[in-house]
Amino acid sequence: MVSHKIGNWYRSVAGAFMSQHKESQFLESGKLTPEEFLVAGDQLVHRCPTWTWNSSSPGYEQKHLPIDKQFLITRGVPCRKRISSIGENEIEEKEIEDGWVVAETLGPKEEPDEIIISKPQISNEEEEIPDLADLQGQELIDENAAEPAALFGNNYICAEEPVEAIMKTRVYDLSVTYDTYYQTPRMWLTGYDEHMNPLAPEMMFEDIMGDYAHKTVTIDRHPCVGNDQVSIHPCNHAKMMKHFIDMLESNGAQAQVHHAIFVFLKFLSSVVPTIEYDFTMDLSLE
Amino acid sequence: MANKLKFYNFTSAIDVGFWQVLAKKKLEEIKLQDDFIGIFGYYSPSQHQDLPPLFHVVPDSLIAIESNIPHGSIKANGYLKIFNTLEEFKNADREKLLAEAGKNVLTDGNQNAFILIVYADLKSYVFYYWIAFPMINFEPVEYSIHPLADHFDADKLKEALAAKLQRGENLSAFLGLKRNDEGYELLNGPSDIICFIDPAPKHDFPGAPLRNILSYISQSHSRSIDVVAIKDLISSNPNNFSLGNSQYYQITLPEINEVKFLGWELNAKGKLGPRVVDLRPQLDPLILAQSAV
Repeated sequence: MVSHKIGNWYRSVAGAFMSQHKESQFLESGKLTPEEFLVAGDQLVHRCPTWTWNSSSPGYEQKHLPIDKQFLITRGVPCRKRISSIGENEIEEKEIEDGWVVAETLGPKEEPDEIIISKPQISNEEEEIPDLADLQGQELIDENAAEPAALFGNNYICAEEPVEAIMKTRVYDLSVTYDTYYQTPRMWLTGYDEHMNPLAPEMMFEDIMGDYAHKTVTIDRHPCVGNDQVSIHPCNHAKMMKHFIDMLESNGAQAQVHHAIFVFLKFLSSVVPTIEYDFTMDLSLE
Repeated sequence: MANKLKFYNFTSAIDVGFWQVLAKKKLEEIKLQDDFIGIFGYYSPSQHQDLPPLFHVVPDSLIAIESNIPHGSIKANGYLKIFNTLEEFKNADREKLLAEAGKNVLTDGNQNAFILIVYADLKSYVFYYWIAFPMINFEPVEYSIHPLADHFDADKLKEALAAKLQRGENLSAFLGLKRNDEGYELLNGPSDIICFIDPAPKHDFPGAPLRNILSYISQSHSRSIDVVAIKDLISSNPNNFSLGNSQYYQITLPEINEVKFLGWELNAKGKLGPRVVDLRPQLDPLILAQSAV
């Protein structure tokens, strides 16, 4: 972990000084230039309107990208199950190359073997939340509310689940940045419990395939936001993109730069198979 | 029209990064000022039937630059008020704040106003907050629900919506909908049919933004209104989306005799009360150092 941190420091410094490639290396190495990242990002935003471009927080601007297109984000993505609650036979793992495992969720079983309900993040300070019971008279009673929306953990139960298997639906914000060192997209996760309280980074490892947690998936500082988030390390991303490019070529097709982020998102869905983000695109037809 | 209409209220989804930018601004610029600060949030239709309508408050809303929200989403302008002590936060006159934030709901078309009150304990990275969506209270109204496709040409409607986005126009809380020779025309302002972007994924009822829209329209229309609730994420390319979740409601307009607001969000326990977010795991360097070992 310490060497990982030092590596991060080196890469962030090196990334800042390295001249960005202008020439496309996409077909040879699977790497993207910042311009290609923009093209691929525009395509994602166009095809999947749940994704949008975002600006960086003050002081975290990435100079190689336009100020209003610093990174991609999709918010409020549901994650209905913890990985540990999915039966083993629901996930089929295939090792493809260099330890990258492709997990495929084979659809829900009728009854989960084991349900892990994580405790929500309750702050120690909660005791200090002012008790406003005595002030409640001020507010009108809302006769027109369909149901208390604040409690979707309790009131928005998946109808098909048995009562004892109530899943606490988490919600994730996923972002994709351009990694200057590896010259690939990089994914970051921020999770919220069923009450929309942010999850501590450690708790998000419950939603990451065990083979990756703490190895390929680590807690790092988000380059455009500046807080610590769970991130899928980009060291193998170019290789996996190249693998896909070769696969397409052997089928007589050619990979396109503007597909790059769809391919990336499709691959990473095996790392976080229960987070239902949108990357729908029929690559074979394009 | 015997059934009473209900609405799905918002659940606030405040981006972790928002607190971080707020902490920085509070230290460097805002300091002890406690005036209203203009911020924005947004909401989108969602296909996830088991999630409540989410209202996103994002860091960009504190950064003074043009910012992006997802295509087909609705930007809502609201207010931030930061209190300097927990005591002040606790004793805030919430009724007055609600009325102040909602004062233009019936006049200038900001039907989606909101107010976020905050006490930030910057030493411990703990933020107390409470958000309100000022909504004019009215007696329950009657409604009926119909399949959209029985009354509208979904393809033509899609084209009209996509064309609106193609022109780069921001979507407002609602649009007037008029039939013409080619299909439909979307107007800014009320009409006999209105079209609104509905953040509530469930089909049975619309989301909370419609409450103020109905109040607003009740000033110029009498009796009832036809509402096309767009519950699908739309895009500038009509081939990229469907209106399969969208619904058509016929609604009796409310009578607004006295303007009274409600709208403070319920907390995690389902009661009226503030929420607290503890960001030490994300922001506190000491804790970060420990968890990294």
